[in-house]
Amino acid sequence: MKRFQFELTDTETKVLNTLASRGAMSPSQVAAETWILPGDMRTMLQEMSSAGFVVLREDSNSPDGWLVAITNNARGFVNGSNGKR
Amino acid sequence: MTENIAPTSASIGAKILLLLVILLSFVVVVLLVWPVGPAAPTWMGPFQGDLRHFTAVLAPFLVIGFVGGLIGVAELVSTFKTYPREALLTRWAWVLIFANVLAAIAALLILRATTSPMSFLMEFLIVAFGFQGIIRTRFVLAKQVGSDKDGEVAINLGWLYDQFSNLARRQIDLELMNNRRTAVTRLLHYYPTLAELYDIALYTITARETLTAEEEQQKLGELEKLIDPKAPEHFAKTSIALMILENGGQSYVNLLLDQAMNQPGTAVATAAAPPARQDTLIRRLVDGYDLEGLVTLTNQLTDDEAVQEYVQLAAQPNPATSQAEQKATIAHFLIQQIGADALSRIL
Repeated sequence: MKRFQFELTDTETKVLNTLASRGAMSPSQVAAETWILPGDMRTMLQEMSSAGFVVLREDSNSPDGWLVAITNNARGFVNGSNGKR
Repeated sequence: MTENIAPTSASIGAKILLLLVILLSFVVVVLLVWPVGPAAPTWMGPFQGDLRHFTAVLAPFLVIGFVGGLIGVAELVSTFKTYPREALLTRWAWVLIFANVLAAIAALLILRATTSPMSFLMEFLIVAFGFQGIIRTRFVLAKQVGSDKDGEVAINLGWLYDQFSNLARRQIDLELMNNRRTAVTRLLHYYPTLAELYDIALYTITARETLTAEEEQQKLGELEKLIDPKAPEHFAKTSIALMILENGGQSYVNLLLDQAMNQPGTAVATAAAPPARQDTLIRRLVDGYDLEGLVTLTNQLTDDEAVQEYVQLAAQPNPATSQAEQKATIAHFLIQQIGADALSRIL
């Protein structure tokens, strides 16, 4: 399983936990669930997507036009099976 | 939306056939064992004798036919590993199974007509195993060294069966493809968002108890590839819907569709997707209000300072995000903090 070269902040961990427990959702929904502001959310998700924690893709049915889902590796990471640092 | 999932004509046919066989077997058994007393009609004794004789003659053919049919079923199940149940319910599956039954019975008739009498056990072994093996075997008499099939001298005793079985398999595959397409189209209709489909597919994979940890990881990996940002949205949705069908089966898809059509608040529907009412509310808030309007609405709806402050900050102009994203975030936030019911009453 992939090891992440990325130090997660508490807020990022909260985002991953939300996605792991609630499933795929729009970035705006994640922001509302975690009380993160939409601008910060977008930047954070892009960084987490580059690091392989989440998949961020366009979704025409979503009110903000995007969909975010946790990756399998990150799910393992969140659940502690990937040796959480 | 009151559409119901109707059973296929093939499944109704199979049930009627099974019922008839059970009924017939019951009548035969009752007639065979019924005690013929003095009060019984005069025709009962001879009739029972004839029936017993007829049963004795017919039984070997029934046994052989049953084994032939069983081999046909096994052949179909091994060919259509992903959809064995659905494959067996197609019309051509029954044609193939019936052909196997008839071929086995014909083989027993030919055996009896061409050889001296032998025990039923011997006949059973020859027909049930020997004949079934021969019609599925190609005997290569000579083969050129280093060449493929071109240089072979072979006798294919089962050529006719091969042709028929290939035709049946093609027809079953076409029928299944048609059914799969219908199921996928309906899934896409009732679960139109990528998020809903993704969550259902994820649940379907993780809920399967027969998958090993490796198989589960492999399937989750396949699912992740399907939502890859490079994949076109419609392709991603269709592929995920097909994945749900392949992993959950037709009955599970029917259950999902049934619940989406009739009971949107049931466990599967809510576990897999948020109620459609929430989506409508979010759309109404996003389309009907600008950012300032949403801030004003929040201040009207709640006195909670933390909520008011979050909405105030979320509505600030920010080059890192879009207005649609800001409005959608506030809309989700309001539903979460104030409740969908309260909001829908106000809107």
